[in-house]
Amino acid sequence: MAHLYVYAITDRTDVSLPKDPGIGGHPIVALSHQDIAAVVSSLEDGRPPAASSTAVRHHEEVVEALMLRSTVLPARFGTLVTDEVKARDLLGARYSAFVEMLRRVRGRVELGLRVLWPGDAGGSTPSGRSVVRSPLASSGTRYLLARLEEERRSCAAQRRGEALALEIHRPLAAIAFESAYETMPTPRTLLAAAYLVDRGRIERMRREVGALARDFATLRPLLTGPWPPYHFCVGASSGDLVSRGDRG
Amino acid sequence: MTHAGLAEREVTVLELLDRALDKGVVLQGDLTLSVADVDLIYVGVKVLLSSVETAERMRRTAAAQPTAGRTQPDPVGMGR
Repeated sequence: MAHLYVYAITDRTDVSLPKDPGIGGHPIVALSHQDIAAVVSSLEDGRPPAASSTAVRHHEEVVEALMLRSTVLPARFGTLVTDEVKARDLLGARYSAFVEMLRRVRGRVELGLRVLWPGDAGGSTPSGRSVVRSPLASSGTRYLLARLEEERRSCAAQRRGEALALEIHRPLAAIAFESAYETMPTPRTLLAAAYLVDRGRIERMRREVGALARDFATLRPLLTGPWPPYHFCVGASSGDLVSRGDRG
Repeated sequence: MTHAGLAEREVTVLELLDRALDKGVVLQGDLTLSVADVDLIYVGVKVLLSSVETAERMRRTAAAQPTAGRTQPDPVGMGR
């Protein structure tokens, strides 16, 4: 049974910790191994916290407080370890990976971008089957031809969407140290991306997204942040964005 | 409190859930999460740039979703 809730890995073993209790009501402490530490707090009866927005917000507040004073790798919400010994063991087992991740995110923040696909603009799938009028074609053939036509339009729309998403993403990726993006992850989302950006470049990123919003008048970008680098310290988890641009 | 301000703050919560529930360091393979109803509440302004339309559309979609959890992606890919 796991008794410790993990908020983040930090590069300062003496980092000033939040004074308020953690999730579960117990004090937040740092467990160190060499020059890194896991920031944790105890759970009552090893009970994992429900993923309520209150709990997730609590998690984020701790991570962001640590981020003010150190470099952090935010843990996924709900990450638990058995006990203090296990926590230090895990830090030791993955020490090199954590140090490298900390190096990559140091002095940087994550900015998130979502661009919604406009209602239509050539991107929507056809609403109905096209009618193929051929007196010689059987009903089966007409059906197959209609489906083929739908498929062609859908694929063309998909290619247009991906091309447009990349056109938006590239200048932003050029500003970032690293980026992770996915084109058309859903029918309504043209681009979902996370950018690891030097703190001094946040404003430039904001201006660039603003310029793109003006250039592509029908698109609707949403730029959020700064976030802890959630997308850039993913080790053993699934759900990574499909493409990663890396200049580091 | 402006209409745009409220929509954007709720969108911020969705962006947070998208990160904290699905990304970040995982120290152990098995996570047990029990999922409760997600109330959209204020977490602080993190929206750097958006259109009211974007924020409002996302908020409406989120409000129509079932409770967040580690399930199939919803149509706009957030608020899992």
